[in-house]
Amino acid sequence: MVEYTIGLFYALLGAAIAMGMGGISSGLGVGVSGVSGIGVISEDPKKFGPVLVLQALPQTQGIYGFLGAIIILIGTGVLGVVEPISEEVGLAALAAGIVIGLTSITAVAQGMIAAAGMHSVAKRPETFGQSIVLTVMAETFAIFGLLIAILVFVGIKFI
Amino acid sequence: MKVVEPVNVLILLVIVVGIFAFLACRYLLRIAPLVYATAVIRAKEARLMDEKGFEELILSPFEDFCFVLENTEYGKYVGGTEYEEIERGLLSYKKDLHDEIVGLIPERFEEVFDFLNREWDVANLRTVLVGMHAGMSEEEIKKRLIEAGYIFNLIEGLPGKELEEVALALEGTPYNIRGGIEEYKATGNFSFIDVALEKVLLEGMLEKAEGKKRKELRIFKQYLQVLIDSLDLKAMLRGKAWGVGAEDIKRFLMNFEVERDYEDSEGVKEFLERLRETRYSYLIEDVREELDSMEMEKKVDEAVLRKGKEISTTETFGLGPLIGFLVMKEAEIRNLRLMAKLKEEGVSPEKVREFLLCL
Repeated sequence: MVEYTIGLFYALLGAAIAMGMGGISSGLGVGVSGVSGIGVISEDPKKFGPVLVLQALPQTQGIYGFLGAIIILIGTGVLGVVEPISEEVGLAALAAGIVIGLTSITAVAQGMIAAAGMHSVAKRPETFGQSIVLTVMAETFAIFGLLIAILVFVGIKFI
Repeated sequence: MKVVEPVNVLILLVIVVGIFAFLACRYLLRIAPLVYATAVIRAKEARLMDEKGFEELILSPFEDFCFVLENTEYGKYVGGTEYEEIERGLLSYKKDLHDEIVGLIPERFEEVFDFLNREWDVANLRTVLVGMHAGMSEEEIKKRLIEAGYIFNLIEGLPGKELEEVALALEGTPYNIRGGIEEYKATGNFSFIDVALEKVLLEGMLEKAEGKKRKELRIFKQYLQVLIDSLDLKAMLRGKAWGVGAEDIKRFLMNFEVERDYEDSEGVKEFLERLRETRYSYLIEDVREELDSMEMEKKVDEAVLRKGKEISTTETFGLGPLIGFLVMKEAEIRNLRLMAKLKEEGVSPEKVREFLLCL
């Protein structure tokens, strides 16, 4: 069993923030786009395919949060290695979790872009590809957040 | 070097995240009720008739009018071989559409959009008064009424009555148009009633929208101002063409900022020139002095339609798309009614095109 230290607390908090904020942000993004999608298919059920694809895009920030939490738990040794976690390591893990959590807020904006993309597809189906491209733009910052978290762990030599 | 306590950093972080979360949730709560409605409206916009569809209708004989509309949304509403049947079908479609849109509107805007119901009272009143003006029988007028609006039962009892009785019956309602009826009785000009009916509708809309500070209503108020400007402009142009004095035209207007220009100008041409320097200029960009009054009003209606389309694209989530759609649909139905009427009378396709609004 891992010994309770302040470092463990920070590491777990980091994992919780990464997953928690990722989940909430993706939930909101998928929610907004889902409402829009239902509006579109209530008028034109044939648009279900494009609507589903657009609705799926804001989910990725939740996946990054999930991934980030696992990296934190494995990297700090909460899962696997049974060694006390120092305060410094815990704080590094917390920082990694925070950056993933904060950048996951882009899922809310991405959901709104996806909803607007559905409106465009409803009116002009040929804009589907362009709508996807524009929706994915918001994703880049969440990807940077995940990358920074990974770099933090590489920097402190845990991965 | 003093190390910052992690606890202080955490507290700061909670505050920053809290602020982000608050702002994000506040925005989402504001737009969430409109996301579904906007999506439905955008999907409906995809089914607006395009130029090709209108061209097909213009070139087809009148007997095929309903056949051409069969594969459109109007298909299950229009039928028959007479204009009255087609008109009734188009108005029934419009009524069902309005009912659907009222169902989509979030509760907090229901009061503002109740004009979608009141429009039917005004339309029915117009039908009754036009029928009386044209000397139609009571039965003929009643056949043309659409069962909608708030005072349908009252309006249904008006055909067959005298004008004075009609004016009296409307006095206790929001549709008091005694002024318009008096002017009509004095001059025989139906336009006074037209303008009076339009005015009561817009006054009702203004009353409901004023005092409400919701951000989303900003665009609705903007569009309402365009409608008010259009009503006032058309009334003033008509008044100028018939030589109506400033004092007399005032009671048909909602706004008379250009009273001095109205009084001082000799005729419609000079009045138009002066208006180009005022805030009405955006409505008369395409109006040329040599056009007759009907063509001028058509150009003004087209300017209003352009503004409505502009409003539709101003906001992604909000009342903009809804207002834009209503404007475009109204113009489409108006064009279809006009087309059906003109084709029944045997007007050539070239002439029909001249009367239609450019969508």
